[in-house]
Amino acid sequence: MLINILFLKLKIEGRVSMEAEYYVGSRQSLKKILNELKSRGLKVLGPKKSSGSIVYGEISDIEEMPLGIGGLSSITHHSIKEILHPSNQRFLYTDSNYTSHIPENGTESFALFGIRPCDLSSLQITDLLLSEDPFYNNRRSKLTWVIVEECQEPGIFCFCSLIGTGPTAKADFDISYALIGRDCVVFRKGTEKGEKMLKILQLKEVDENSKEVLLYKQRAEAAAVSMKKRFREGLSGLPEALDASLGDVSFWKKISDRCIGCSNCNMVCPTCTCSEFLDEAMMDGSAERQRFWVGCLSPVYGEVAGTHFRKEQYMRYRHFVLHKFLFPFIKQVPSGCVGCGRCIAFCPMGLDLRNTLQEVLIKYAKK
Amino acid sequence: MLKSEEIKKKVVPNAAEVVEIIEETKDTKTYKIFIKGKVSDEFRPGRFLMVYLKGSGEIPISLSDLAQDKDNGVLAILTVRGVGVVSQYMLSKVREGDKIGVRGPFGNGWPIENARGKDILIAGGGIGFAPLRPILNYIRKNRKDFGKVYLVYGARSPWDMLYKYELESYKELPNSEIHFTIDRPAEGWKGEVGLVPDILGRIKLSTDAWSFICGPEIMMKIASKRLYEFGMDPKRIFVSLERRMRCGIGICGTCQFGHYYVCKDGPVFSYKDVYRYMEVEGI
Repeated sequence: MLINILFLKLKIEGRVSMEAEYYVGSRQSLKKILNELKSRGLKVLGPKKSSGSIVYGEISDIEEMPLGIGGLSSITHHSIKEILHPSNQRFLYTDSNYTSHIPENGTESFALFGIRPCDLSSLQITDLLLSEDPFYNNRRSKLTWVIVEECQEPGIFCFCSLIGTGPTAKADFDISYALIGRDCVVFRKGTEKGEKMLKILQLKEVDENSKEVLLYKQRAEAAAVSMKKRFREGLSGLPEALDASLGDVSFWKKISDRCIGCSNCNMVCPTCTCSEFLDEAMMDGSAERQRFWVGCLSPVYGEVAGTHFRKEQYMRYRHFVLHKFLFPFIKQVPSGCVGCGRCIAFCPMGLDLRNTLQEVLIKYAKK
Repeated sequence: MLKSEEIKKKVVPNAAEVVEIIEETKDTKTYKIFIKGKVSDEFRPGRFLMVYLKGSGEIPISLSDLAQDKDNGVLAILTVRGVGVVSQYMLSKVREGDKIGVRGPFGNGWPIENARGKDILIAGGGIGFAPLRPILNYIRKNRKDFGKVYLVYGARSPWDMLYKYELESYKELPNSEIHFTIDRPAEGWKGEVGLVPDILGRIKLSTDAWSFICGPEIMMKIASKRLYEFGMDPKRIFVSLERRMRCGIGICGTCQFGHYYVCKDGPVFSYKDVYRYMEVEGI
């Protein structure tokens, strides 16, 4: 009874998708979804191939999409942060008389298409971190559709199943899909709105025990298990272990000794939202404020006139780890990490966050 | 009003007029500014304004006295020491009659209302005395609401003491114990010599006093610890912390101290809430 009430509450709040319901289609069905979204006047944004790389931007054709690439997030330096919280925003304009206003920040309604479950989960975190940000809120309110591609195999840097954010999408999406064969796509409804669209497109409804759905689940499970291999006991006890490690300077120095403070990890992280402001005076007496990303691994981060509160690199690395895995636990909000693996993939020094977590657990988890 | 409109108001600076400038020391000035459309209720002691110098930058500055309502606006007092780019620019360029930008006030402020009826300890070091001064002046205005007042204010030298024009008047406060101290002996100095935590060790405090401390972080750490060891309740010892603050409303992230955002969750914290983090350098 209690569970039912809780479920109903979450359902009303739109936080959980209703019981799984599957449809089967082809790549052509994806094209239909794309066209359907566009016909509704939406700008469709997501990962797309661009001169040998993958960026996040407007998708005009299904052929541009990096479909079926397992662990896609971990190989893209972009994420949906690029769309919802871009760097280099014009933040403020002040005229010569000290009258200030926020520059026009109009965005048309848009859909996210083809993002992976890890990036989808990052939304929940950025929603919390940027709840008071007028720019983010504006963009966020224009996000009306979310279509997620579920991974069927992990990339070498992925660890979403350890965090619990993937490879299967959990909530806050309208439709998910997974490519299980050359031209077979399993669709799952996330919301009633999503279900309606799947019905409009006349996709084949299948039940949970159909061979397509079974294969899809089997692959997702195999992907989840393979990511957990190096963590036999998962990440349980991690916040407590981190808490116990706080003052162990030599431990954190050793673990971070290769970190050079480039803050690549911060830049590629979909949940790193910290920003700096730069004020610029114009010749006519007016001024503009730009806002851009800044990373806590960078030596200039948090510097104040006269002193620095995180003087050494190990302190900055420790902060990064704590901010993802300890502080959210204290605040009782979801983990600040979604397990996308970007910080590992784009570290020029080969620092692996998974190793750090492992070391913390080995040394400090209660046995 | 829409929530987004309220948020926008926090992001956009108001124009304020500099009404008066007082030279405090060779590197510190106090600015009396007029901000239209605000009411003094918001300007509680311990809160801060984001001060914007057009095209130069924006810095958090604590209110250094009680604000007054005037002509549909507020007269607010800010004491600025020239340390960084913006503060030094302010000291050298801003004149009486000039405009500056301000946002806020932000932050939680000192919980002085909760300390009614109690003895009060105010311990300030250097420019850290500025955010404490409104507490003192609040108590002076509402003297009967508080118990004994202990004030320890330390500066590097006699020349670095702020508010020299009113320091002597603090001693007229009934039922109070006032200590002025400097770091090293200096010619002509009649007050005490020693660091603030050392002076705290010398005076006899009641253990149920409420303490308000502001100064360099190391001083706050040592002073709080000393008071705690002396038997004071860590929930009744308050410190005001400094961090890099760019937004003042918890969206830029740069003021993080442990799991706290100093701008939003602070800048005032009870020692109980932060003592662990204060023990971890660079948290």
